[in-house]
Amino acid sequence: METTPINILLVDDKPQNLSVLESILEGGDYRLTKAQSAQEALVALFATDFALIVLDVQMPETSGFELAQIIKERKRTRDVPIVFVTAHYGEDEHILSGYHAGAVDYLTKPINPAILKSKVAIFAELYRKTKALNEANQVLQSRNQELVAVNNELEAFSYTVSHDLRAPLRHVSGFVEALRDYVGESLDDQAQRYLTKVQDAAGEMGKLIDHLLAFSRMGRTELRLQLVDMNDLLQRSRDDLQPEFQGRRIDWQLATLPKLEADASLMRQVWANLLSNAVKYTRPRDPARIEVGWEDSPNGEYVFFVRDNGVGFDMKYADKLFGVFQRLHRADQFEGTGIGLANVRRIVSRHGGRIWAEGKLDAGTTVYFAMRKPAALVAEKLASAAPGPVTAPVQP
Amino acid sequence: MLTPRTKHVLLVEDNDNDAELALAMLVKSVPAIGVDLARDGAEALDYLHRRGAYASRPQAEPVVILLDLKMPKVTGVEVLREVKSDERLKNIPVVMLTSSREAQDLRECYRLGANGYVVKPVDAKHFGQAITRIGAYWVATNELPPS
Repeated sequence: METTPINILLVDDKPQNLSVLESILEGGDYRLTKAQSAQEALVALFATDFALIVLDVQMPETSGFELAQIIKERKRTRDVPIVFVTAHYGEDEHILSGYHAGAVDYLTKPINPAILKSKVAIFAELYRKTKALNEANQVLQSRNQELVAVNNELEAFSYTVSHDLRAPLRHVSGFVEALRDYVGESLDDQAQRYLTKVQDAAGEMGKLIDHLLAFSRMGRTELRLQLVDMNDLLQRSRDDLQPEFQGRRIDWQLATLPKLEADASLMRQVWANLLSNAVKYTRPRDPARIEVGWEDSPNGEYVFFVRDNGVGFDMKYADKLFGVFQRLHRADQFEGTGIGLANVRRIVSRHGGRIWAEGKLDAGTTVYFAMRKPAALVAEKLASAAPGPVTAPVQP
Repeated sequence: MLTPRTKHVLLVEDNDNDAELALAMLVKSVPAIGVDLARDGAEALDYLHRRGAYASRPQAEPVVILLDLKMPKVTGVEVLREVKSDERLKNIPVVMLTSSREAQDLRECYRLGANGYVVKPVDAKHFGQAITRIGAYWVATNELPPS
Protein backbone atom coordinates (compact mmCIF):
# COMPACT_ATOMS: atom_id res chain seq x y z
CA MET A 1 0.00 0.00 0.00
CA GLU A 2 1.31 3.48 -0.79
CA THR A 3 2.25 5.58 2.23
CA THR A 4 -0.38 8.11 3.17
CA PRO A 5 1.03 11.60 3.81
CA ILE A 6 0.54 12.60 7.42
CA ASN A 7 -0.71 16.16 7.54
CA ILE A 8 -0.30 17.99 10.82
CA LEU A 9 -1.73 21.40 11.58
CA LEU A 10 0.25 23.60 14.01
CA VAL A 11 -1.75 26.49 15.46
CA ASP A 12 -0.12 29.22 17.53
CA ASP A 13 -0.40 32.98 17.36
CA LYS A 14 3.37 33.42 17.91
CA PRO A 15 5.60 32.65 14.89
CA GLN A 16 8.54 31.72 17.10
CA ASN A 17 6.43 29.01 18.87
CA LEU A 18 5.44 27.60 15.51
CA SER A 19 9.09 27.50 14.52
CA VAL A 20 9.93 25.58 17.68
CA LEU A 21 7.20 23.00 16.97
CA GLU A 22 8.32 22.77 13.38
CA SER A 23 11.95 22.17 14.27
CA ILE A 24 11.03 19.44 16.75
CA LEU A 25 8.85 17.59 14.23
CA GLU A 26 11.20 18.03 11.29
CA GLY A 27 12.54 14.80 9.92
CA GLY A 28 9.48 12.91 11.15
CA ASP A 29 8.13 12.53 7.61
CA TYR A 30 5.16 14.77 8.31
CA ARG A 31 3.66 17.44 6.13
CA LEU A 32 3.38 20.44 8.44
CA THR A 33 0.94 23.31 7.98
CA LYS A 34 1.21 26.39 10.16
CA ALA A 35 -1.63 28.69 11.19
CA GLN A 36 -1.30 31.85 13.28
CA SER A 37 -4.96 32.32 14.11
CA ALA A 38 -8.19 30.42 14.45
CA GLN A 39 -9.23 31.88 11.09
CA GLU A 40 -6.15 30.55 9.31
CA ALA A 41 -6.56 27.21 11.01
CA LEU A 42 -10.17 26.85 9.82
CA VAL A 43 -9.18 27.76 6.27
CA ALA A 44 -6.45 25.10 6.34
CA LEU A 45 -8.84 22.54 7.86
CA PHE A 46 -11.28 23.16 5.07
CA ALA A 47 -8.68 22.41 2.40
CA THR A 48 -6.72 19.51 3.87
CA ASP A 49 -7.35 16.25 5.66
CA PHE A 50 -5.29 16.44 8.87
CA ALA A 51 -4.11 13.58 11.05
CA LEU A 52 -3.59 15.85 14.04
CA ILE A 53 -3.87 19.45 15.24
CA VAL A 54 -1.32 20.81 17.69
CA LEU A 55 -3.19 23.74 19.17
CA ASP A 56 -2.03 26.52 21.48
CA VAL A 57 -4.66 27.23 24.11
CA GLN A 58 -3.79 30.87 24.68
CA MET A 59 -4.48 32.89 21.58
CA PRO A 60 -5.96 36.38 21.20
CA GLU A 61 -9.47 36.77 19.72
CA THR A 62 -10.45 33.09 19.43
CA SER A 63 -8.81 30.93 22.08
CA GLY A 64 -7.62 27.38 21.46
CA PHE A 65 -10.61 25.93 23.29
CA GLU A 66 -13.06 28.05 21.31
CA LEU A 67 -11.42 26.94 18.08
CA ALA A 68 -11.55 23.32 19.26
CA GLN A 69 -15.25 23.69 19.88
CA ILE A 70 -15.80 24.90 16.33
CA ILE A 71 -13.68 22.03 14.99
CA LYS A 72 -15.63 19.45 16.99
CA GLU A 73 -18.95 20.85 15.84
CA ARG A 74 -18.12 20.46 12.15
CA LYS A 75 -18.76 17.10 10.65
CA ARG A 76 -15.75 17.24 8.39
CA THR A 77 -13.26 18.00 11.17
CA ARG A 78 -15.01 16.39 14.16
CA ASP A 79 -12.75 13.35 14.26
CA VAL A 80 -9.39 15.11 13.89
CA PRO A 81 -7.55 14.64 17.18
CA ILE A 82 -6.21 17.73 18.95
CA VAL A 83 -3.14 18.09 21.15
CA PHE A 84 -3.56 21.25 23.24
CA VAL A 85 -0.46 23.14 24.26
CA THR A 86 -1.13 24.77 27.60
CA ALA A 87 0.93 26.79 30.04
CA HIS A 88 -1.39 26.12 32.98
CA TYR A 89 -2.41 22.51 33.05
CA GLY A 90 -4.03 22.81 36.49
CA GLU A 91 -6.48 25.48 35.30
CA ASP A 92 -7.26 23.86 31.96
CA GLU A 93 -7.66 20.32 33.26
CA HIS A 94 -11.42 20.52 33.73
CA ILE A 95 -11.86 21.73 30.16
CA LEU A 96 -9.67 18.95 28.76
CA SER A 97 -11.66 16.34 30.67
CA GLY A 98 -14.76 17.52 28.81
CA TYR A 99 -13.49 15.90 25.62
CA HIS A 100 -13.95 12.22 25.15
CA ALA A 101 -10.84 10.09 25.39
CA GLY A 102 -8.78 9.78 22.25
CA ALA A 103 -10.16 12.96 20.76
CA VAL A 104 -7.72 15.21 22.58
CA ASP A 105 -4.46 15.18 24.45
CA TYR A 106 -2.39 17.96 25.96
CA LEU A 107 1.19 19.15 26.36
CA THR A 108 2.46 21.62 28.93
CA LYS A 109 4.84 24.43 28.22
CA PRO A 110 7.75 24.47 28.01
CA ILE A 111 7.48 21.75 25.41
CA ASN A 112 9.54 18.63 25.94
CA PRO A 113 10.61 17.64 22.41
CA ALA A 114 10.73 13.93 23.15
CA ILE A 115 7.16 13.91 24.50
CA LEU A 116 5.84 15.97 21.60
CA LYS A 117 7.56 13.66 19.12
CA SER A 118 6.19 10.52 20.72
CA LYS A 119 2.63 11.89 21.03
CA VAL A 120 2.63 13.00 17.41
CA ALA A 121 4.02 9.64 16.33
CA ILE A 122 1.22 7.85 18.17
CA PHE A 123 -1.49 9.98 16.56
CA ALA A 124 0.17 9.60 13.15
CA GLU A 125 0.12 5.82 13.56
CA LEU A 126 -3.49 5.90 14.69
CA TYR A 127 -4.37 7.97 11.64
CA ARG A 128 -2.58 5.58 9.30
CA LYS A 129 -4.29 2.56 10.79
CA THR A 130 -7.74 4.13 10.87
CA LYS A 131 -7.32 5.18 7.27
CA ALA A 132 -6.20 1.70 6.22
CA LEU A 133 -9.10 0.17 8.12
CA ASN A 134 -11.60 2.51 6.49
CA GLU A 135 -10.20 1.75 3.08
CA ALA A 136 -10.32 -1.98 3.71
CA ASN A 137 -13.88 -1.57 4.91
CA GLN A 138 -14.85 0.33 1.81
CA VAL A 139 -13.30 -2.31 -0.42
CA LEU A 140 -15.15 -4.98 1.52
CA GLN A 141 -18.41 -3.13 1.25
CA SER A 142 -18.15 -2.64 -2.48
CA ARG A 143 -17.07 -6.26 -2.93
CA ASN A 144 -20.10 -7.25 -0.93
CA GLN A 145 -22.37 -5.18 -3.12
CA GLU A 146 -20.79 -6.66 -6.22
CA LEU A 147 -21.30 -10.14 -4.81
CA VAL A 148 -24.95 -9.51 -4.08
CA ALA A 149 -25.46 -8.11 -7.58
CA VAL A 150 -23.62 -10.99 -9.26
CA ASN A 151 -25.54 -13.47 -7.17
CA ASN A 152 -28.89 -11.96 -8.11
CA GLU A 153 -27.89 -11.93 -11.75
CA LEU A 154 -26.82 -15.54 -11.56
CA GLU A 155 -30.10 -16.56 -9.97
CA ALA A 156 -32.09 -14.73 -12.61
CA PHE A 157 -29.91 -16.19 -15.33
CA SER A 158 -30.18 -19.76 -14.13
CA TYR A 159 -33.92 -19.37 -13.72
CA THR A 160 -34.47 -17.97 -17.21
CA VAL A 161 -32.19 -20.48 -18.85
CA SER A 162 -33.74 -23.42 -17.05
CA HIS A 163 -37.17 -22.09 -17.84
CA ASP A 164 -36.46 -21.62 -21.52
CA LEU A 165 -34.66 -24.95 -21.79
CA ARG A 166 -37.77 -26.84 -20.79
CA ALA A 167 -39.70 -25.91 -23.93
CA PRO A 168 -37.38 -27.48 -26.54
CA LEU A 169 -37.06 -30.56 -24.35
CA ARG A 170 -40.80 -30.89 -24.19
CA HIS A 171 -40.82 -30.69 -27.98
CA VAL A 172 -38.15 -33.39 -28.34
CA SER A 173 -40.12 -35.69 -26.10
CA GLY A 174 -43.46 -34.74 -27.63
CA PHE A 175 -42.47 -35.24 -31.26
CA VAL A 176 -40.75 -38.53 -30.56
CA GLU A 177 -44.07 -39.66 -29.10
CA ALA A 178 -45.87 -38.28 -32.13
CA LEU A 179 -43.45 -40.11 -34.42
CA ARG A 180 -44.07 -43.35 -32.55
CA ASP A 181 -47.81 -42.87 -33.03
CA TYR A 182 -47.37 -41.98 -36.68
CA VAL A 183 -45.12 -44.86 -37.64
CA GLY A 184 -46.85 -47.28 -35.31
CA GLU A 185 -46.26 -51.02 -35.59
CA SER A 186 -43.88 -50.77 -38.52
CA LEU A 187 -41.03 -49.72 -36.21
CA ASP A 188 -38.67 -52.59 -35.42
CA ASP A 189 -37.30 -53.22 -31.93
CA GLN A 190 -34.05 -51.38 -32.46
CA ALA A 191 -35.84 -48.27 -33.74
CA GLN A 192 -38.20 -48.44 -30.77
CA ARG A 193 -35.20 -48.74 -28.46
CA TYR A 194 -33.57 -45.64 -29.95
CA LEU A 195 -36.76 -43.63 -29.58
CA THR A 196 -37.07 -44.76 -25.97
CA LYS A 197 -33.51 -43.65 -25.36
CA VAL A 198 -34.20 -40.21 -26.84
CA GLN A 199 -37.27 -39.84 -24.67
CA ASP A 200 -35.55 -41.09 -21.54
CA ALA A 201 -32.69 -38.68 -22.10
CA ALA A 202 -35.12 -35.80 -22.56
CA GLY A 203 -36.94 -36.84 -19.41
CA GLU A 204 -33.65 -37.05 -17.48
CA MET A 205 -32.66 -33.59 -18.61
CA GLY A 206 -36.09 -32.31 -17.69
CA LYS A 207 -35.54 -33.66 -14.20
CA LEU A 208 -32.14 -31.99 -13.97
CA ILE A 209 -33.61 -28.68 -15.08
CA ASP A 210 -36.50 -28.97 -12.64
CA HIS A 211 -34.09 -29.64 -9.81
CA LEU A 212 -31.91 -26.75 -10.85
CA LEU A 213 -34.99 -24.54 -10.95
CA ALA A 214 -36.04 -25.62 -7.50
CA PHE A 215 -32.50 -25.03 -6.26
CA SER A 216 -32.46 -21.54 -7.73
CA ARG A 217 -35.93 -20.78 -6.40
CA MET A 218 -34.92 -21.95 -2.96
CA GLY A 219 -32.04 -19.48 -2.92
CA ARG A 220 -34.43 -16.65 -3.60
CA THR A 221 -37.36 -17.40 -1.33
CA GLU A 222 -37.41 -15.48 1.90
CA LEU A 223 -36.84 -17.33 5.13
CA ARG A 224 -39.89 -17.46 7.39
CA LEU A 225 -38.35 -17.99 10.78
CA GLN A 226 -40.39 -19.47 13.58
CA LEU A 227 -39.86 -21.79 16.49
CA VAL A 228 -39.72 -25.21 14.90
CA ASP A 229 -40.25 -28.61 16.50
CA MET A 230 -37.54 -30.67 14.85
CA ASN A 231 -39.08 -33.93 16.14
CA ASP A 232 -42.26 -33.24 14.26
CA LEU A 233 -40.38 -32.48 11.04
CA LEU A 234 -38.23 -35.56 11.46
CA GLN A 235 -41.22 -37.83 12.03
CA ARG A 236 -43.18 -36.45 9.10
CA SER A 237 -40.15 -36.69 6.80
CA ARG A 238 -39.71 -40.32 7.81
CA ASP A 239 -43.39 -41.08 7.31
CA ASP A 240 -43.19 -39.62 3.80
CA LEU A 241 -40.35 -42.01 3.04
CA GLN A 242 -42.30 -45.08 4.14
CA PRO A 243 -42.90 -46.37 0.59
CA GLU A 244 -39.13 -46.27 -0.05
CA PHE A 245 -38.24 -48.64 2.76
CA GLN A 246 -41.28 -50.86 2.85
CA GLY A 247 -40.26 -54.47 3.33
CA ARG A 248 -36.78 -53.54 4.51
CA ARG A 249 -35.42 -54.00 8.00
CA ILE A 250 -34.23 -50.68 9.34
CA ASP A 251 -33.17 -50.10 12.92
CA TRP A 252 -34.16 -46.47 13.53
CA GLN A 253 -32.53 -44.66 16.44
CA LEU A 254 -34.20 -41.26 16.68
CA ALA A 255 -33.21 -38.95 19.52
CA THR A 256 -35.55 -36.33 20.97
CA LEU A 257 -34.40 -33.17 19.26
CA PRO A 258 -34.35 -29.61 20.60
CA LYS A 259 -36.41 -26.84 19.04
CA LEU A 260 -34.90 -24.37 16.60
CA GLU A 261 -35.68 -21.00 15.18
CA ALA A 262 -35.90 -21.82 11.48
CA ASP A 263 -38.02 -21.95 8.35
CA ALA A 264 -40.18 -25.01 8.93
CA SER A 265 -40.72 -26.04 5.32
CA LEU A 266 -37.05 -25.66 4.47
CA MET A 267 -35.96 -27.57 7.58
CA ARG A 268 -38.34 -30.31 6.58
CA GLN A 269 -36.55 -30.51 3.23
CA VAL A 270 -33.29 -30.93 5.13
CA TRP A 271 -34.60 -33.91 7.09
CA ALA A 272 -36.34 -35.37 4.06
CA ASN A 273 -33.13 -35.25 2.05
CA LEU A 274 -30.84 -36.59 4.75
CA LEU A 275 -33.20 -39.43 5.68
CA SER A 276 -33.84 -40.26 2.06
CA ASN A 277 -30.08 -40.50 1.46
CA ALA A 278 -29.64 -42.69 4.52
CA VAL A 279 -32.45 -44.98 3.35
CA LYS A 280 -31.07 -45.08 -0.18
CA TYR A 281 -27.43 -45.74 0.63
CA THR A 282 -28.18 -48.45 3.19
CA ARG A 283 -30.13 -50.46 0.63
CA PRO A 284 -27.51 -53.23 0.54
CA ARG A 285 -27.64 -53.56 4.37
CA ASP A 286 -29.85 -55.96 6.30
CA PRO A 287 -30.62 -54.72 8.80
CA ALA A 288 -29.86 -51.10 8.01
CA ARG A 289 -29.17 -48.80 10.91
CA ILE A 290 -30.09 -45.12 10.80
CA GLU A 291 -29.44 -42.91 13.77
CA VAL A 292 -30.51 -39.29 14.24
CA GLY A 293 -29.09 -37.40 17.17
CA TRP A 294 -27.67 -34.13 18.33
CA GLU A 295 -24.97 -32.64 20.48
CA ASP A 296 -24.82 -29.42 22.42
CA SER A 297 -21.91 -27.44 21.04
CA PRO A 298 -20.16 -24.94 23.33
CA ASN A 299 -20.30 -22.11 20.77
CA GLY A 300 -24.06 -21.62 20.90
CA GLU A 301 -24.99 -24.23 18.31
CA TYR A 302 -26.79 -27.52 18.20
CA VAL A 303 -25.01 -30.07 16.07
CA PHE A 304 -27.47 -32.52 14.53
CA PHE A 305 -26.38 -35.65 12.78
CA VAL A 306 -27.78 -38.45 10.64
CA ARG A 307 -25.64 -41.57 10.80
CA ASP A 308 -26.09 -44.71 8.72
CA ASN A 309 -24.31 -47.98 8.18
CA GLY A 310 -24.64 -47.72 4.41
CA VAL A 311 -22.15 -47.80 1.58
CA GLY A 312 -20.34 -44.69 2.86
CA PHE A 313 -17.88 -42.70 0.79
CA ASP A 314 -14.20 -42.02 0.46
CA MET A 315 -13.26 -38.96 2.54
CA LYS A 316 -11.10 -37.65 -0.29
CA TYR A 317 -14.32 -36.82 -2.12
CA ALA A 318 -15.88 -35.16 0.94
CA ASP A 319 -15.79 -31.70 -0.65
CA LYS A 320 -17.75 -32.93 -3.67
CA LEU A 321 -20.60 -34.22 -1.59
CA PHE A 322 -22.44 -30.93 -1.34
CA GLY A 323 -21.88 -29.64 -4.90
CA VAL A 324 -24.71 -29.15 -7.39
CA PHE A 325 -25.14 -32.26 -9.56
CA GLN A 326 -22.11 -33.88 -7.90
CA ARG A 327 -22.54 -37.61 -7.50
CA LEU A 328 -20.27 -40.21 -5.96
CA HIS A 329 -22.15 -43.18 -7.41
CA ARG A 330 -23.06 -44.27 -10.87
CA ALA A 331 -26.69 -43.75 -11.83
CA ASP A 332 -27.22 -47.51 -12.17
CA GLN A 333 -26.06 -48.06 -8.57
CA PHE A 334 -28.06 -45.35 -6.84
CA GLU A 335 -30.58 -43.10 -8.55
CA GLY A 336 -30.63 -39.33 -8.19
CA THR A 337 -29.50 -36.13 -9.88
CA GLY A 338 -27.08 -34.96 -7.20
CA ILE A 339 -29.01 -31.89 -6.10
CA GLY A 340 -30.19 -33.12 -2.70
CA LEU A 341 -27.18 -32.32 -0.54
CA ALA A 342 -26.56 -29.09 -2.45
CA ASN A 343 -30.07 -28.06 -1.45
CA VAL A 344 -29.47 -29.11 2.13
CA ARG A 345 -26.24 -27.16 2.33
CA ARG A 346 -27.94 -24.10 0.91
CA ILE A 347 -30.78 -24.30 3.41
CA VAL A 348 -28.40 -24.78 6.32
CA SER A 349 -26.12 -21.94 5.29
CA ARG A 350 -29.07 -19.64 4.69
CA HIS A 351 -29.91 -20.23 8.35
CA GLY A 352 -26.35 -19.28 9.30
CA GLY A 353 -25.45 -22.91 9.98
CA ARG A 354 -22.70 -25.24 8.78
CA ILE A 355 -22.78 -28.71 7.28
CA TRP A 356 -20.17 -31.41 6.82
CA ALA A 357 -19.93 -35.15 6.47
CA GLU A 358 -17.78 -37.98 7.61
CA GLY A 359 -17.67 -41.36 5.98
CA LYS A 360 -15.73 -44.45 5.18
CA LEU A 361 -16.13 -46.55 2.11
CA ASP A 362 -18.46 -49.47 2.89
CA ALA A 363 -18.70 -48.38 6.52
CA GLY A 364 -21.41 -45.75 6.56
CA THR A 365 -21.88 -42.01 6.46
CA THR A 366 -22.56 -39.37 9.07
CA VAL A 367 -23.85 -35.99 7.94
CA TYR A 368 -23.60 -33.26 10.56
CA PHE A 369 -25.21 -29.85 10.50
CA ALA A 370 -24.73 -27.15 13.10
CA MET A 371 -27.52 -24.64 13.68
CA ARG A 372 -27.59 -21.63 15.97
CA LYS A 373 -29.62 -22.16 19.11
CA PRO A 374 -32.74 -20.05 19.40
CA ALA A 375 -32.31 -16.77 21.30
CA ALA A 376 -31.41 -17.31 24.98
CA LEU A 377 -34.84 -16.36 26.31
CA VAL A 378 -36.64 -18.76 24.07
CA ALA A 379 -34.14 -21.46 24.93
CA GLU A 380 -34.85 -20.97 28.62
CA LYS A 381 -38.56 -21.42 28.12
CA LEU A 382 -37.89 -24.57 26.18
CA ALA A 383 -35.46 -26.06 28.66
CA SER A 384 -38.08 -28.43 29.96
CA ALA A 385 -39.20 -29.45 26.49
CA ALA A 386 -35.72 -30.52 25.40
CA PRO A 387 -34.15 -33.24 27.55
CA GLY A 388 -30.49 -34.15 27.20
CA PRO A 389 -29.05 -35.66 24.04
CA VAL A 390 -30.26 -39.20 24.48
CA THR A 391 -30.92 -41.61 21.67
CA ALA A 392 -34.06 -43.61 22.11
CA PRO A 393 -34.96 -46.44 19.79
CA VAL A 394 -38.21 -45.84 17.96
CA GLN A 395 -40.34 -48.45 16.27
CA PRO A 396 -40.36 -48.01 12.50
CA MET B 1 -58.32 -22.87 -38.24
CA LEU B 2 -61.91 -21.81 -37.50
CA THR B 3 -64.09 -24.74 -36.54
CA PRO B 4 -67.84 -24.28 -36.46
CA ARG B 5 -68.48 -27.10 -33.97
CA THR B 6 -70.45 -26.39 -30.85
CA LYS B 7 -67.93 -27.42 -28.21
CA HIS B 8 -64.57 -25.94 -28.82
CA VAL B 9 -61.47 -24.82 -26.99
CA LEU B 10 -59.47 -21.67 -27.54
CA LEU B 11 -55.79 -22.51 -27.33
CA VAL B 12 -53.58 -19.44 -26.96
CA GLU B 13 -49.99 -20.42 -27.66
CA ASP B 14 -47.20 -18.55 -29.41
CA ASN B 15 -44.83 -21.49 -29.78
CA ASP B 16 -45.46 -23.55 -32.95
CA ASN B 17 -44.24 -26.80 -31.49
CA ASP B 18 -46.20 -26.46 -28.27
CA ALA B 19 -49.29 -25.51 -30.25
CA GLU B 20 -48.96 -28.50 -32.56
CA LEU B 21 -48.37 -30.96 -29.71
CA ALA B 22 -51.18 -29.62 -27.55
CA LEU B 23 -53.54 -29.57 -30.50
CA ALA B 24 -52.74 -33.16 -31.45
CA MET B 25 -53.20 -34.33 -27.88
CA LEU B 26 -56.44 -32.43 -27.38
CA VAL B 27 -57.97 -33.88 -30.50
CA LYS B 28 -56.72 -37.34 -29.54
CA SER B 29 -58.18 -37.11 -26.04
CA VAL B 30 -61.58 -35.65 -26.95
CA PRO B 31 -62.21 -36.60 -30.61
CA ALA B 32 -65.37 -34.49 -31.00
CA ILE B 33 -63.62 -31.33 -29.87
CA GLY B 34 -62.91 -28.26 -31.94
CA VAL B 35 -59.77 -26.30 -31.28
CA ASP B 36 -59.22 -22.71 -32.31
CA LEU B 37 -55.70 -21.45 -32.09
CA ALA B 38 -54.62 -17.91 -31.31
CA ARG B 39 -50.92 -17.24 -31.78
CA ASP B 40 -50.53 -14.55 -29.16
CA GLY B 41 -52.48 -12.55 -26.60
CA ALA B 42 -53.51 -9.85 -29.03
CA GLU B 43 -55.01 -12.40 -31.41
CA ALA B 44 -56.79 -14.09 -28.50
CA LEU B 45 -58.40 -10.81 -27.50
CA ASP B 46 -59.44 -10.12 -31.12
CA TYR B 47 -61.00 -13.57 -31.21
CA LEU B 48 -62.85 -13.13 -27.93
CA HIS B 49 -64.06 -9.62 -28.71
CA ARG B 50 -64.96 -10.61 -32.27
CA ARG B 51 -62.94 -7.90 -33.93
CA GLY B 52 -60.31 -7.63 -36.67
CA ALA B 53 -59.88 -10.96 -38.49
CA TYR B 54 -62.47 -12.47 -36.15
CA ALA B 55 -65.17 -9.80 -36.62
CA SER B 56 -67.60 -12.30 -38.08
CA ARG B 57 -66.49 -15.63 -36.63
CA PRO B 58 -69.43 -18.02 -36.49
CA GLN B 59 -68.59 -19.91 -33.30
CA ALA B 60 -70.11 -19.53 -29.90
CA GLU B 61 -67.69 -18.80 -27.07
CA PRO B 62 -65.15 -21.53 -26.23
CA VAL B 63 -65.93 -23.87 -23.31
CA VAL B 64 -62.42 -23.26 -21.99
CA ILE B 65 -59.46 -21.06 -22.80
CA LEU B 66 -56.05 -22.73 -22.53
CA LEU B 67 -53.73 -19.82 -22.03
CA ASP B 68 -49.95 -19.68 -22.21
CA LEU B 69 -48.34 -17.25 -19.81
CA LYS B 70 -45.23 -16.05 -21.62
CA MET B 71 -46.20 -14.57 -24.95
CA PRO B 72 -44.98 -11.59 -26.97
CA LYS B 73 -47.07 -8.40 -27.21
CA VAL B 74 -50.03 -9.18 -24.96
CA THR B 75 -49.08 -11.68 -22.23
CA GLY B 76 -51.26 -14.41 -20.77
CA VAL B 77 -51.75 -12.42 -17.58
CA GLU B 78 -53.11 -9.48 -19.56
CA VAL B 79 -55.50 -11.69 -21.51
CA LEU B 80 -56.65 -13.28 -18.27
CA ARG B 81 -57.21 -9.90 -16.63
CA GLU B 82 -59.28 -8.70 -19.58
CA VAL B 83 -61.37 -11.86 -19.83
CA LYS B 84 -62.16 -11.91 -16.12
CA SER B 85 -63.12 -8.25 -16.01
CA ASP B 86 -65.45 -8.53 -19.02
CA GLU B 87 -69.12 -9.18 -18.13
CA ARG B 88 -69.72 -11.24 -21.25
CA LEU B 89 -66.50 -13.31 -21.07
CA LYS B 90 -65.84 -13.78 -17.39
CA ASN B 91 -67.69 -17.10 -17.08
CA ILE B 92 -65.44 -18.78 -19.62
CA PRO B 93 -63.06 -20.97 -17.65
CA VAL B 94 -59.41 -20.04 -18.17
CA VAL B 95 -56.75 -22.67 -17.56
CA MET B 96 -53.19 -21.39 -17.57
CA LEU B 97 -50.97 -23.80 -19.50
CA THR B 98 -47.41 -22.73 -18.95
CA SER B 99 -43.80 -23.61 -18.25
CA SER B 100 -43.59 -21.39 -15.20
CA ARG B 101 -43.91 -22.71 -11.70
CA GLU B 102 -42.94 -19.40 -10.10
CA ALA B 103 -44.97 -18.72 -6.98
CA GLN B 104 -45.65 -15.14 -7.99
CA ASP B 105 -47.07 -16.22 -11.35
CA LEU B 106 -49.37 -18.71 -9.64
CA ARG B 107 -50.55 -16.16 -7.10
CA GLU B 108 -51.11 -13.48 -9.73
CA CYS B 109 -53.10 -15.80 -12.00
CA TYR B 110 -55.41 -17.03 -9.26
CA ARG B 111 -55.81 -13.48 -7.95
CA LEU B 112 -57.02 -12.48 -11.39
CA GLY B 113 -59.53 -15.35 -11.41
CA ALA B 114 -57.81 -18.17 -13.30
CA ASN B 115 -59.81 -21.42 -13.05
CA GLY B 116 -56.78 -23.67 -13.28
CA TYR B 117 -53.03 -23.66 -13.58
CA VAL B 118 -51.15 -26.46 -15.27
CA VAL B 119 -47.37 -26.63 -15.62
CA LYS B 120 -46.54 -28.28 -18.93
CA PRO B 121 -44.53 -31.39 -18.14
CA VAL B 122 -41.39 -32.03 -20.17
CA ASP B 123 -42.15 -35.69 -20.57
CA ALA B 124 -44.45 -36.35 -23.52
CA LYS B 125 -46.50 -39.01 -21.71
CA HIS B 126 -47.10 -36.71 -18.76
CA PHE B 127 -47.89 -33.82 -21.06
CA GLY B 128 -50.35 -36.05 -22.88
CA GLN B 129 -51.95 -37.08 -19.60
CA ALA B 130 -52.27 -33.47 -18.49
CA ILE B 131 -53.93 -32.46 -21.76
CA THR B 132 -56.22 -35.48 -21.67
CA ARG B 133 -57.36 -34.63 -18.15
CA ILE B 134 -57.93 -31.01 -19.08
CA GLY B 135 -60.01 -32.11 -22.06
CA ALA B 136 -61.92 -34.72 -20.05
CA TYR B 137 -62.82 -32.28 -17.33
CA TRP B 138 -63.23 -28.85 -18.91
CA VAL B 139 -64.68 -30.03 -22.21
CA ALA B 140 -66.49 -33.29 -21.46
CA THR B 141 -67.51 -32.92 -17.80
CA ASN B 142 -67.81 -29.29 -16.78
CA GLU B 143 -71.10 -27.43 -17.30
CA LEU B 144 -71.22 -23.71 -18.06
CA PRO B 145 -74.09 -21.34 -17.23
CA PRO B 146 -76.63 -20.99 -20.07
CA SER B 147 -75.93 -17.92 -22.18
